[in-house]
Amino acid sequence: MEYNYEQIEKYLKGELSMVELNNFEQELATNSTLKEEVALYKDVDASLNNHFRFEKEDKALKAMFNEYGKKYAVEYASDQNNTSIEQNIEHNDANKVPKRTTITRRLFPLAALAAAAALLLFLFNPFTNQVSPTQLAEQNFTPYTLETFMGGGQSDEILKKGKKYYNGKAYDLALENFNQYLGINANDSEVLLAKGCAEFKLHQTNNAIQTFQKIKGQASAKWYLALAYLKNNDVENAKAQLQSLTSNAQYGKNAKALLKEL
Amino acid sequence: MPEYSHPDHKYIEALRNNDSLLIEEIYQKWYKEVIQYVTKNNGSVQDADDLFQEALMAIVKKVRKEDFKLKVPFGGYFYFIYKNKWIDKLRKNKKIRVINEDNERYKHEVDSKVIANDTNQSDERYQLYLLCFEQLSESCQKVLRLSLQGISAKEIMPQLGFATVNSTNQRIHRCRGNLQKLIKDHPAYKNLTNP
Repeated sequence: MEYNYEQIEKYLKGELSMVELNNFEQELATNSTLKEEVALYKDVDASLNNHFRFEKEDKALKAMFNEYGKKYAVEYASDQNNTSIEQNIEHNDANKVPKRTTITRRLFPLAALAAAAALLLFLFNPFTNQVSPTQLAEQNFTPYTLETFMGGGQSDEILKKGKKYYNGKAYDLALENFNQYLGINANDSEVLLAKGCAEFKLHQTNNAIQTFQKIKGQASAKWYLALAYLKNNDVENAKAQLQSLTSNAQYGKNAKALLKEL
Repeated sequence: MPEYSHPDHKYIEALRNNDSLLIEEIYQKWYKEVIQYVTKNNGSVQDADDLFQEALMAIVKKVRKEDFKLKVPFGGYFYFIYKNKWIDKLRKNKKIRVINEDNERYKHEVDSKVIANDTNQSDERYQLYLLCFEQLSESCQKVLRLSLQGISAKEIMPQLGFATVNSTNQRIHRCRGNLQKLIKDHPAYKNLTNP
């Protein structure tokens, strides 16, 4: 049923005349569908008004959540590693990893704090409201989801480990395993994508660009390559990649939105 | 007399005001708990991170929409939000094997459960409104985006090139009708509680 939305709006804003108000309230008291329509109108107003008004704040909040998520996921992954490492030591499987992990545990909180501080500094920079290409790249970046591998070979074991670190956001550890795996399976595009994302997150942006360039003809590689160029402030190359994605079913919408922001 | 709020209401204010120190405290206190819950229930650390953010954003949306006073401990309230969100996700993915028993620590916090349900329902409605908004034509999205921010038809008219205030108003209300219709016709709408 079509309603008079102008009247509903005027009613909610208190802009109806006395006569109109009386008529409307009488209708409202007896017409349950109108009542539902008005309640929905009011709720949509409140919800979407906040959504549009706080878009910038939401982006900043999400960036903050990402940083804290990274920090505490790394802590969690380190705790898990230490547990398994301690078990390994008990089984006389001594190697260099425990020492490295202890150092990692000490350095990660500092590194994460520094990264969070740097991020907050440029997010809340009081001197500018402009979003830089680097910020745009960070805001649009979500790490590629690496699918589960069920194989049992030696290289699959390395990959499984890499995936565990990658999911735990321990990107430096993941990178070691991905490099090892790619030494055996150089053209695995899934792993190249994850490797590039790990490099992106570790701010090894030139390496990330080189990694994504190795993947030919994949829309996801083009998307991440565009973000890596953006992170490097190379807007022209980023635009060229995004242009090639505008008609892509998966990335088209995001590519167009990003091009608009550029 | 001022309305009572629990000491943990400070976390609600922190989310309302982007207070990074207290938000980090939320991560310190509850992040591992969420990872443990999700990884025990068919999910990964990445899923847990996403869920943690979604649950926090649901609270942010709620507190921006209304004057919300937390009268229960944050831990239990947060637990029931993320737990219900995760169960919903698994159901949607047809992975229904989930430990549905409540955490011993929070199982007696009935009020927390009720308030968390209300927050989740409000979030589900918001997600549906947004989804339907994105299905509108580009021109409707443009005009409603401005109107929903409280910008008047008189100000919208020159920005979007309408001829008169009257035609701007007509466009706003037609688009608004389209949005209401899309929402009510969506299959998820009938499962939502009334606002």
